[in-house]
Amino acid sequence: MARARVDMALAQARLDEAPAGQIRLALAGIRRPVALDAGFAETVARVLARWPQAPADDHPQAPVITVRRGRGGFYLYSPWTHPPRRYRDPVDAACALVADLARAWADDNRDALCLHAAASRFGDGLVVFPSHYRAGKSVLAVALAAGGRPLVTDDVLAVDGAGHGIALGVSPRLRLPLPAGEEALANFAAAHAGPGSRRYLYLDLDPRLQLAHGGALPVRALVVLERDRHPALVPMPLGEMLRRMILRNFARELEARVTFDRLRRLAARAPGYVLRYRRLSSAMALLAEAFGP
Amino acid sequence: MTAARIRRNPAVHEEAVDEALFLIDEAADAIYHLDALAAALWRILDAEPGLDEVVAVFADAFPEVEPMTVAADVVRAVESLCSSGLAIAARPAQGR
Repeated sequence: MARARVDMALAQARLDEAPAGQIRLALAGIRRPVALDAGFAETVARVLARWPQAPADDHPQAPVITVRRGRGGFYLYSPWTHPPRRYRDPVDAACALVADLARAWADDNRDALCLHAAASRFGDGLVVFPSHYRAGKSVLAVALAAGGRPLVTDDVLAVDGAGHGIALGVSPRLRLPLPAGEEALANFAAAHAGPGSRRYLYLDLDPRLQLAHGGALPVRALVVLERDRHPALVPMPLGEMLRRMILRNFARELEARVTFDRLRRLAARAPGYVLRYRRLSSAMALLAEAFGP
Repeated sequence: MTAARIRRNPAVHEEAVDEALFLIDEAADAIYHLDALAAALWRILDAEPGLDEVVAVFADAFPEVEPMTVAADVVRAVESLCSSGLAIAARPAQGR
């Protein structure tokens, strides 16, 4: 046991040093820096295009997350990834880094909830899509951006105590291959292609099409996505929406009672719907009809 | 557990929202959503019934289901509530 502790301490000490070829960045809203392989940092800069960063090589604190290049790929070290994981492709490593950055942000902003959700700007507020993994929320949020509705997030939405959704500033990411038969989406993705791997493609969006980190707007509506041949936008009972919001929240820093009361207020204030659709065009038409231009 | 009476953990708070029922266990810092059957069980536990009484209520409600199946499902559900700390199985006091 003592030997294991010594080994762990040495490993941490090695991570705490800034070896050659590594840079440290301070990201807005995260107390400790992140340490990245210099060659990997370029990919990260594009993935975090709207999340302000500054060089932090002299930062007094140890990195909260480290990505190092090693044998056969990139190794991610963080409090949320046990054991450290290896990624052969830098974009796959960036995906994992983004997930842990959201956790780091939640850890340092304990007054906020963090929902697995996409969100798009409609007028002076947000329409939020709190849906599970692979429900199609990234595709829909990108399609809405292609139609001129600014993207707030395609994966993680922070929510403050006043019920405002807050952008983290991460570029949207589409799973490959793109859905068949959605030509407009494919064209938009090709025109805005950012870093990509065999599995994922990040998009470089124009600033007018994506809210920057910290941008906050009130939540106007909550919309759960369902695939269905018959397009419709139908109300969802408050209790069921609240259940889904609780499942989508991954911030664990607030007490259960506070989390419940906040989500209940949010769900009570913002009407809940189920959006049933098969084609993106019908989904976008239903949303425009309900929430305006 | 057969002779025990089952009661709700008094530290757990119930929140009904429309048709949905949530339980908040502040000590464990956890939120639970109860499906329709679990919510029915939770409501029955308000009377601090014995396990046999709970089984009887569900057997009456589901006459088309084998009584053994009902009993097994109820025991499993009660055990789940107890192991989560939401309910407590308490032996009756001597002489009661």
